Amino acid sequence: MASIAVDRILLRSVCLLKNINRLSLCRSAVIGQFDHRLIHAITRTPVFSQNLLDLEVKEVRHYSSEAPLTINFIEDRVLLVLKLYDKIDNAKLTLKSHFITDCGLDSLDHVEIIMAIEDEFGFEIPDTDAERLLTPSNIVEYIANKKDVYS
Amino acid sequence: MSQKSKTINLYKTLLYMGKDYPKGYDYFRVRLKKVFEKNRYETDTEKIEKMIAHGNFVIKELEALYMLKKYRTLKKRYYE
Amino acid sequence: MARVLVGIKRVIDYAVKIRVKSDKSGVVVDGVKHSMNPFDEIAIEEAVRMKEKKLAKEVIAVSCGPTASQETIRTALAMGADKGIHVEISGNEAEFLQPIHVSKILAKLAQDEKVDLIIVGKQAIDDDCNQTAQMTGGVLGWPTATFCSKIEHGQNELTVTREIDGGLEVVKVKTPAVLSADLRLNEPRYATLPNIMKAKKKPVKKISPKDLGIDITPRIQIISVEDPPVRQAGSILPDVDTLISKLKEGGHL
Repeated sequence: MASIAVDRILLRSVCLLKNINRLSLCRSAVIGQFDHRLIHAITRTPVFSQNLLDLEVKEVRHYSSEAPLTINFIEDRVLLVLKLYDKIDNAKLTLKSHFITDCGLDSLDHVEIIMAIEDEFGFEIPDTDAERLLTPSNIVEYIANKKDVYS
Repeated sequence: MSQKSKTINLYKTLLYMGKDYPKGYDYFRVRLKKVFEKNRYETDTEKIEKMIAHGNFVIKELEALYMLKKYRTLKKRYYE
Repeated sequence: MARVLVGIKRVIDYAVKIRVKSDKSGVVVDGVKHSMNPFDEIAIEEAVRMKEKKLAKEVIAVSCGPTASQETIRTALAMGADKGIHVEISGNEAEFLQPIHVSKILAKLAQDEKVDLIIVGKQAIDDDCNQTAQMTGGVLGWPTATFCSKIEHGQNELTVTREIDGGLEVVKVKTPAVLSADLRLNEPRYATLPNIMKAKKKPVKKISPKDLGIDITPRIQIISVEDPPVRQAGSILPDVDTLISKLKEGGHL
């Protein structure tokens, strides 16, 4: 009985991961065709986490808890948010690229990025911390720390 | 608070308010950025302080604008 | 001091142009900006002002709807409510949620939370039902004052000015009571960014109608939703003579 339950959980998380990948793939594939107004409509609502939560709720009655975070998942979500931002060249974007020197953004664009990340992950990043978040991996690390994610 | 973080805070608050702007967020965002960029090389702290004060005034104006627009729309829709 | 429960609804933003679905089953809600029902903002504002005047101890914001309704609750918390209750109803079910269900939910929560006052917006700008306050009062057997434009507080009673056809009516109600807010009751404050952030730390309880023992099977069936008829364009006439001949033509003179 117990092993069946474990199997089902495993199966479910695999499905979930597949869904995540599929979602992020089709989203980034479609983006090229959108004009940026649409993209902004998307950035404003955290579509991504929403879909995940919906999945969770349908499959397990998982009240009042968010989808579990992993480092990989945070990375995906951070990169997705950044790719949706119209001033970043998607081809140049990696976890290590520096927003200002590599992506050619200025400090005001940086504020916009931080706000989009705050929206996506639902917590406030104080300015003093925001100043130091100059690459995607900085942001991932910061979020992982805040949310106590280590794997 | 340093002038830099005051300015960043101002930009952030205005950006947030732009989401409710009647002509759309993008219209607002592009113009907001231009206005800030115009003064990017300003170094006179007194002038910067005045600009920040002006920005905070604009926030109040926007709040009033949104409130009035909503009130008027509802009044027209339900009371006339 | 009173405990106040405020009902809030997430609706399509007042400024959005509504589009009817091609099959006439309802309106398009996907990808459309939503916000708090403006009349509910007025209700929250009134409750928060009561708290600021030390007339209320706690303000509880309740919303029934899909996961996204939490955002509406956050807005209420940012405006000054103390805690939120999210009655989770899936998107599909929420489309057919009716005032009778919401009234029963609010009534049950009012008893569970031992509140002395329920304030709701007089109607939601999406379905324009204008029934929730009345029905909630009915379920609880509490005095109900609708369309409030002024609320004065006395000892275990409220003096309420109501907006009625062609004038104002002043009534006294004993608490506990149910009130519905009209447009002129107050001017709701703006939920600022720092307050939205702070609101994320306030508690929001999630609960299902089933937990409350409330059946949300639809009681009303929607047959068809249609656009209002398009008004015909007018024309500008050069002079009074043309106007008169046109009116005669139309058989109006």
